[in-house]
This record gives sequence, C-alpha cells and structure tokens, in this order.
Amino acid sequence: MNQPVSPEVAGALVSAQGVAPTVESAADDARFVTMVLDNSARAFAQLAFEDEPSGFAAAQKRHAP
Amino acid sequence: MTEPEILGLSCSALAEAIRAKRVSATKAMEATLARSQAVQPKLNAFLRIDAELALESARLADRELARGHLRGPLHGVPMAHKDMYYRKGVASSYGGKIGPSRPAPFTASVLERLDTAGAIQFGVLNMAECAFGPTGHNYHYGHCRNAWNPECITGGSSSGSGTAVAARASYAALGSDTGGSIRLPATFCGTAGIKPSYGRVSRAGAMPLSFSMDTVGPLARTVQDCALLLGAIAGQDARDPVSDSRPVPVYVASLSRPVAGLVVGRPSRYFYDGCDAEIIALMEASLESFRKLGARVVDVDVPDIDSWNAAATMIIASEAAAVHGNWLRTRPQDYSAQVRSRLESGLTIPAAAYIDSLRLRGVALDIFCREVFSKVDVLHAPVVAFQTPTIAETDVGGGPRLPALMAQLTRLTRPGNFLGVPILSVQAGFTKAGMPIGMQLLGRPFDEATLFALGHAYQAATDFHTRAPAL
Repeated sequence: MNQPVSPEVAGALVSAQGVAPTVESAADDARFVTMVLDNSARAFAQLAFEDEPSGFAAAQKRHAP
Repeated sequence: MTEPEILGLSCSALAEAIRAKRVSATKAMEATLARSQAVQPKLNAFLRIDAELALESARLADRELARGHLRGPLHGVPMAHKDMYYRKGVASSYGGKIGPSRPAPFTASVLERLDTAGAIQFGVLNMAECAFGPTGHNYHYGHCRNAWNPECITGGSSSGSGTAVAARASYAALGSDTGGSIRLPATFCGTAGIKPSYGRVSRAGAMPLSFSMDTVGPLARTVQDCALLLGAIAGQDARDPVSDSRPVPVYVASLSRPVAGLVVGRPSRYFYDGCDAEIIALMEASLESFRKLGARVVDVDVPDIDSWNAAATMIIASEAAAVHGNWLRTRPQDYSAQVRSRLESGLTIPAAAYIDSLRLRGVALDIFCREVFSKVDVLHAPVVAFQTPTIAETDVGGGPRLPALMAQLTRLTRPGNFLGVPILSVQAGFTKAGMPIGMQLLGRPFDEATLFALGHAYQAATDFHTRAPAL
C-alpha cells in the first residue's frame, strides 16, 4: 500500500515548478495523486524489466488485421 | 428541394444531391446558415459563424460543378468544427482565453484534407476549454446546451460538435477524443462518432492536449457519414510523426460487408458495474438487433481496466500540464478554476509513474487483444453508465467534487484511449426522459472497417439515427 501524498508535499511540488497553489488546490492535488498512484500500483508491479513505452506501437502493429 | 428537406439529409445524402445537381451548394449553405443562426440562442453551439465567406465558397463550388469540376466526395457540404483546428492566420480559441492570442501558423492537415474533399467550413464550434472537460461546460463562452433538452449537458469536450450535428445545424463536425471527447457528446446528443485508432488521423495543426492519447475524428448523423469523413481525413502525414503509414481502406465500401457471422462481445464486468437499468435495457435491445442481423453475441471477460484507467489519467494529466506549463505559470488567471485545477494536479505526477503508465500501454493492449479480440470481433458496451445529467447537477467548478465527476464521466471511455483502439459510437435508443443514449463498439487496432460494417447494418435495421430534436 502506498503512503498518501500530503497536501504539503503536493503543494511544494507545484510551487517548485513555478505555479502557486492555494490551500484548497494543494489538498485536491494530494487526493488526486494519491488516488491514481494507488489505483495503478498493482499493474505497475507486474511490468517486466524490459517493458518500454515503444511497446505500445509494436503491439498496435502486432494486433492490426 | 425545400429547406427542411435539405436540412433533413445526411452528409452523404447531401453530397450525392449536390453531385446530382438536385440541390445547389449555395442553397444548402443558405439553409444551414439559417438553421445555425436559429438554434444558436438556445444551444450556444457556435463560437463563430463566417456566413459571407461560406456563401462565397458555396457559390464557387456551384460554378466549379457547372464546369464539370468535382473537388471530391464532400463537394459543397457545409460543416463547422470544434474550435481547436488551425486555419492559417486565424486564431482558434481552444474554448478558452489562451488560443485567441495565437494566430495559426499553418492550416491543420485534417482541414486541408476536408477542403480537398470539397467540404466548406462555415464556422467554429463551442468546446470544453482546452478540450479538457467531459461535460460541455464552458466558463469563458457560456455552457453548450443539448439539442434534446437545453437543461442537459452535451457531453464534452466536443460539445458544440455533438449538439450542432444533432440540431441539424451542421452536416458533420470534427471532434477530438483524448478520454472520450467524441463518444460522450455523440451519446448524449444522439449522433454517431468515430474515435479512430491512435495514429490513423493526423494531429498536425490540432491543438494538443495529450500527445500520447489525442485522436481526431468526426461526429455525424450516420455511420455512413462517419465512414465517408474518416476516409477523407485518414492516412499518413509527414507533419505528424506518429501518423501510421498503412494504406487507408475505402471505408464506404466496408459498409456493404456482411455482418452475419461476426462475433460481438458483451463484457461480463466493469462496463455494466452500477449501470442504470434503462441503459442496460437499451444495450440489450441493441445486442438483440445484432443477433437478428446474424451476428453471434457472447459474454467476454475483460481484464483489469481500473488500473489502466489510472495510468491513462496520469498520462493525460502529465502531458496536459507539460503542454500548458508556460501559460499556467505566466497566465493562470486566463484559465477557468476547473481547468487550472486539473492542470495543476498534473504537476504532481512523479516522472517514474508517468513512464510506467506509458510502459503499461503495450502490455495492456497485448492482454486486451489476447483476452478479448481472440474471442470476439467487436466489443459492445455502453458509453456511460448513467442517464444524461443536467448542466446544473454537473457544475462543480474546480472544487473537491471535480475528480470524482471526471472519473465517473470518463470511466467507460478512457480505457479505449489508453489502448488506442478504434471505437464507433452509435445511437442505441432513447430513455423514458426522451434523451438519446449511445453504444460504443471497440475494434482491433486499425480495424475501423469492421466497426463501420456493423454500425451501418444496425442503422439500416433501426431508426434512432433518423430522429431529430424538436427545437
């Protein structure tokens, strides 16, 4: 189970990229990133060492009629 | 032909009528402009109508035809498009305040191809700001309204495309689909729409949102129209490095392919979780129609789509945040609270998670094809699991209800973008409230032709696509 991202961490990440978060938006950001990291963790854990982004284009070609 | 008769034609039928000189391009344009101006106060579908320029182009099309010159299969057909396609020297709005400051440096490849095919663009259509919203709300130019009930959402982000086509105010319209933005307005507004395979249609000159997921395709009244339009715009383009090099089939020829014997899959999980009972009944009725056409309907188990949805969300959020990063830093006030909030969230995605999401795509497509397309030719599913909400119900701005609403609206559409497969949205009937509902047909990569064959056969056996809203 991933640890939740705190609003302070989310806000700091946003600030470090030159965008000014509000207290509310930092809390929303934290909820969002926690949710997507949680929901993807199982699938990411099953990725093979060799899988790479270009695998998508190769799969498209492989499965086209 | 009378004006109502002209407006009642599909895009394909109008193109044929112009070719046969049963109606002039000028008369078709006059009828379309009058209809557009009449429905605009109710629907807010258009951001700009270029009446004089369009009429001039229509008169030229008539003169060319009189001389025996046919530009192409869409000669003289009036169309308006989502306001995110570049037309050289003209600033597209992108549905917000960012676009108007950027006159386009060149014309989008899809617009060039439609011009070559003879279509005449007469205006630009409302859309979700930066194509980053699935409802049809627009806090800069006013919310777009559904032609079947102006209190209801159109779906987005191709909101104006959906409602203008439904209202018979445009014969077809380009949309774009990154997480469901063609299929959602198609289902809520009662039109057909094709989200092509990733790479099938050039994105050059289309406003980017998420370059790994963006696709360009048409919404139109019929599946036949979608086939005609996709044939006009598909194919490799040197200006889009991910456009695919394989030959483009003659999609209109695929419409006559037999569908008897095709296997249609009904997902046994995910797509019907929590689905509204009326929508389930409409989906079952459409499956029964496919059975009557000779197709075999089988239940099929679908893989772990929830995690793919999360990965898709991370790709879109990260890429959108990158694309808009400079403006987000320097012009944050020019975004609505909703879009600013979503863009800001994208800045929090760790790089490794973004890359893992991209690594997962090929794996997911392999799994999906092995578990689904080894058993069926097409997967059939609802586009949404709930009935059309009102504009007021979904007006959440940028607040804490936003992520849940986005997830709910795109839950059944976003996986298709992650997989990059072609998906046809087709009208599947009406709810008791009188609102249209669509189905989506998912096919193998680059197998749009099978989807068109099946969708066209369905429309030949049903009449949902012939019904028009009473405006």
